[in-house]
Amino acid sequence: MAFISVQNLKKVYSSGRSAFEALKGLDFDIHKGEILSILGPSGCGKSTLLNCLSGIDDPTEGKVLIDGVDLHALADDKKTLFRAEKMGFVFQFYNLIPVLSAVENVEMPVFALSPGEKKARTQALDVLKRLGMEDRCSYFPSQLSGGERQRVSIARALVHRPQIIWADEPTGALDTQTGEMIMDLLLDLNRSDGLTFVIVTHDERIARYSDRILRMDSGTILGIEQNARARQGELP
Amino acid sequence: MIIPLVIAAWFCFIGWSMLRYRLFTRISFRNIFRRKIDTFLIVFGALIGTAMISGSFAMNDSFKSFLYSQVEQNLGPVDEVLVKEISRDRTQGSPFSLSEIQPFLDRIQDARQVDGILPLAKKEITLGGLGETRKLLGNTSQTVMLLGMEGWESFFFADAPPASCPEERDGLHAVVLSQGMADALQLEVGDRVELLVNPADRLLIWKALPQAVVGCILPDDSMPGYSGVNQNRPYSAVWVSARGFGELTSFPADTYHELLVSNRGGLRDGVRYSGWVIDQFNESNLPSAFQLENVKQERLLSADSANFGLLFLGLSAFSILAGMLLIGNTFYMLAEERQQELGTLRALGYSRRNVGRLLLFEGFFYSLIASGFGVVAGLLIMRFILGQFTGFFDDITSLVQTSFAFGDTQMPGAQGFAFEFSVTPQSILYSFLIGIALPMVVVFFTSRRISRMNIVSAIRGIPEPIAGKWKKRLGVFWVFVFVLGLVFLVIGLWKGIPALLFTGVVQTSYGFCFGFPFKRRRIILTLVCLGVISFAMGCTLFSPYQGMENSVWLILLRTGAVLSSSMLLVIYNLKVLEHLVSLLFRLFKISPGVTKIAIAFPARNVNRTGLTIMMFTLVVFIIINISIIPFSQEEGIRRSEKTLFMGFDAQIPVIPFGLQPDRDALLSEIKEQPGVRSVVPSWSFGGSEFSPGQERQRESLLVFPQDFSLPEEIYRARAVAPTGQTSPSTQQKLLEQLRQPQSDDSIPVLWLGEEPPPGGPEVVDHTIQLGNGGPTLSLRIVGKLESDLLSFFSGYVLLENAQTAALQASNDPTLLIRYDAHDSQSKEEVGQDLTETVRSSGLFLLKSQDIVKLSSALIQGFVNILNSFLYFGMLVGITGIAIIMFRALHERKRIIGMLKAIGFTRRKIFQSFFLETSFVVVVGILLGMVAGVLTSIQFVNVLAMNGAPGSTVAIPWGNLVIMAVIFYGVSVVATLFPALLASRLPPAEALRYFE
Repeated sequence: MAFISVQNLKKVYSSGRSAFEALKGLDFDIHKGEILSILGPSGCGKSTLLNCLSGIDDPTEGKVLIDGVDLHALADDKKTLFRAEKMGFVFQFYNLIPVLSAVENVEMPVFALSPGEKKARTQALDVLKRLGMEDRCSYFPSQLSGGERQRVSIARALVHRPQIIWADEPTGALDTQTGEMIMDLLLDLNRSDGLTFVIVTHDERIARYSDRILRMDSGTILGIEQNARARQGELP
Repeated sequence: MIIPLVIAAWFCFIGWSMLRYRLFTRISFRNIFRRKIDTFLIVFGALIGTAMISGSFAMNDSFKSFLYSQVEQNLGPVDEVLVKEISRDRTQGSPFSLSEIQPFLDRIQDARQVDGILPLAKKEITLGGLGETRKLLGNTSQTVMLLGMEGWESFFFADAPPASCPEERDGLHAVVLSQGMADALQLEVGDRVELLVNPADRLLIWKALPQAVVGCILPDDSMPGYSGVNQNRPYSAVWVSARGFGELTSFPADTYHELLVSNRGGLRDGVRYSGWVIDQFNESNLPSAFQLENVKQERLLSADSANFGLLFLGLSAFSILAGMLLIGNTFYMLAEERQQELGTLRALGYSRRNVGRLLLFEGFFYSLIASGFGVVAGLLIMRFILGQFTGFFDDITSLVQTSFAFGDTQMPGAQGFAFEFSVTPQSILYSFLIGIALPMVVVFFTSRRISRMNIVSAIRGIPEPIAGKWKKRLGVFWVFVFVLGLVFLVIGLWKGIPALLFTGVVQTSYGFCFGFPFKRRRIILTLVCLGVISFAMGCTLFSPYQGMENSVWLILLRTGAVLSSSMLLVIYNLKVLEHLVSLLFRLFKISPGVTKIAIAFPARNVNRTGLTIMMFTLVVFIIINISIIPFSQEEGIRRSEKTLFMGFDAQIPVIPFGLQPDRDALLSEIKEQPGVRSVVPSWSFGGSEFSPGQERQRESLLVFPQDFSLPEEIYRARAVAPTGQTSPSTQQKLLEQLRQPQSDDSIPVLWLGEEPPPGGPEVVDHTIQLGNGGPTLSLRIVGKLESDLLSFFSGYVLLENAQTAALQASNDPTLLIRYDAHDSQSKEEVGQDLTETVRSSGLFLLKSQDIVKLSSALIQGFVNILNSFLYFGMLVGITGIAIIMFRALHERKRIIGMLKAIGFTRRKIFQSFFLETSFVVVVGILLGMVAGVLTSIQFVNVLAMNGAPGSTVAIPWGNLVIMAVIFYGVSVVATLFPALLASRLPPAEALRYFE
């Protein structure tokens, strides 16, 4: 059974009399522990698909089953808690809270599940150390470089030990070298922790880090390709 | 006049620029309509300041208009008054004939500057219906000023409308009364009246009193209220012809007390010629006994100088300042939000000036709308407050009427308080111009600063640190402040000027913190602020401030120092507060994540949070001061209810002229009244004190019979030792001491009244001469009232002795009465019965309960009026926090989206907004409360030392807590909407924001 099952997923944006169909009835599965890249040009609906898959946006029609749970059948608060337990997010522009230090930013998802401050701090420090950011814990986002900010963002996605990481253009705001470093890191985490990664990108080179590539255009799936080399360590 | 012209010229220039740069005007205009809620909040915040200004101006105009109407009512067309050898109390001058002042009359009689002159004779008499005047009951007779007027046929003189009134009627001289007096004395036209011209004739019942007839009754507003040069004596005037005056009062014919002069023109323009009339008088070379009183001009000048509105303007200054902070804060936030737009314009080639222009035009639109609405709002609010004023004075008048047994007669001066709303076009124009100018000044400087942005940072949306050049300028400014502070400090020390020294210390401290580059500025600033607070609070322990606790200027300086340092301390240490508040929130089991977000944002945005906290602090600070100072006064009076009349509940004062009804009969009637426990006579005398080394001054003595006694629980007292030292005592012990003869033949006395007794606290021996040339007494103070209690009587209290006996015999006593609840009657009901008994005897009863009630009503009423004005100022803070939270919603949309994505529920997002508001508001309110309480304590102490004895600090905690809760509650309610919007924000949409 697939870890994530997408069935007839549709998303229509309506504005007055006009309607725009962003997703046109998509069907596909995502397996546990794989890296899936969603690749396509700007405006093809890949970010919308990611939002619907992660439950931060509601589809107009269709189902997203995660570990057998119909995500969009859950009430808003339950869906939010489901996200808090099972998912982590990495955004293109990091979305770090500027008034909190790196470690405080990383603690946030743990607080969403309401454990104590000590536990949150320990987990946050552990994950920052793992990502080589232990000496930047007390820095504020404005004091960090782009790559460092994204590492903090990744640490925030990992800190509460989720099963799925959604990454929307994780290297979009970074230079090529830093982008590759970040992708290596994601790959390492995938291999060591068995996390499922869904990465939205328009960059072929980034997509080649994944196990499978889902190509999209105009709200439809053009095809899903296997990318065996990534598994064998034959990186681009 | 120049300032409004400059402001108007500036606005014209902006208007011209707007026409010239239409593109910027269009962009500005569209920005205003793009965000309607923001526009509404900015306009609302700005209009409050304007409303307070226009309201204060309207209050000033209304009060002046009231004073002018009083001048008009009292003086009518009279501009100057010629008098001869006027008495010290300015009530009566020596009589003179017209031939004595002929040179002056020749000069002014036919001059175009003068439209009327009127010789006048006058006398204070008692007037009443037939058979009523001698009773002196108040409701059927009244003390009035009888005015004998020459030229009856042209009643009245000058440009006043003539009234036809017979000089005689039924063979009697006709008098003219006002409607108010006729109603009070129940007289109608044609009624005969009796005149008690000489008080001694009252008891000569065989001697018929002269009679007159009511010839005319004129409406109050058409009757000149002129009753003499001294307008403070509230006599009612009764007019009669000069011939009638002579015959009724046996006053020689063709002789007068005053010559009234009316200048050409009305109330305001008539005084133009006062200078000319005075010149004519001076050039007439009349004997030096004559003097010309410039009555109207002086009254108008004093009305002009009574800037009552300034009190409101002063109070609202804090709110206006807070309003300006709000505008600056909001405008800066708006501009920051549009950083990328403005940066793009700069990149496209628009100059700094053009970008500044864009913001300036936008600010001009806001200011224009806000000022227009603000002026209208201020006038409406002040109209409402003035309504309260009139209602308040009506209540006081009715309380006076019902509380004190004056019969059915209106008390002089207790007539309805016609305080009508009035505002001049100049005031409207000025408040409108100031209402635009103040925000525009803020907007101008903000625009200038924003226009100097770094283009790259602006386009990339990177928060811009203060530009190096600007930073350098700021640094230079603070170094200048530091150096100037040092100069003040040195001059203060050198010349021994404590104020300069104080300013120097504080200024140097702030200059030191901000003027020099410190790595750990926060720690330095914290230490310096703590130092300034300690210095301000403890400076009176050291020279040269020792013993200056009650200096008003020092209080003001200390207040300013404490307030500014406390604000800086809190604003720069919000992070420390974060830890404390986190602990508190943990108690309420609030998620640490929510707490962190709620506090981290205000703690990091130091400037914005600081300004918001300042707005709340300033408004609360002034409200606290306005609440505590009068409350302490009120509590002092309440506390003193038992001591006001020496432990008695009421007194029947002596009526002037020695015209007392049968006191013995009244005494026995009162004693038999149920509930009355004791009635004690007391005699009050004036004395001339000439203690060695002291200036001769008037003091009062209150003499009690030897068997005078009071229960010791009546009030607290302190014994005074011969050294001047005081120690706690009881009333009973002090009475025993009063009865004990002193070895040096001095008379033991209690000192009541202001602290310290004459000559200072250590002087206990006094010498006083009773009356004029009466016996001389040696007094020794053996006890005094506790300093936090008040007494109606101020002076020395002693028991009767051989030296006071003669004076007692020739004077009527004041009766002091103690009464209590009796059977089913409450104490109040017993007091009411007593009032009726005393009233029926033509006397009046003064109850301590009523004095307390009246004082409380007066203080409370006034405080309520001021507070209703100040609570309006609270809206500044409330609007400020609402604007900030709306801005926060826009600014943090992506963060809210991210938080929702990673698992923060709606409730948590709502909580974070709610707690953030609470944090800022509570800090602001607490800071204002602490600073306000500390300052009011000092002010109350000063009041206690300067003419308001009995005052000790009393803090109305209940009221303050209610005020704080209301302020907090309304602020939180104002931010509920943005908090709700934030919690309901769809995460996907929020994350797309700005993308």
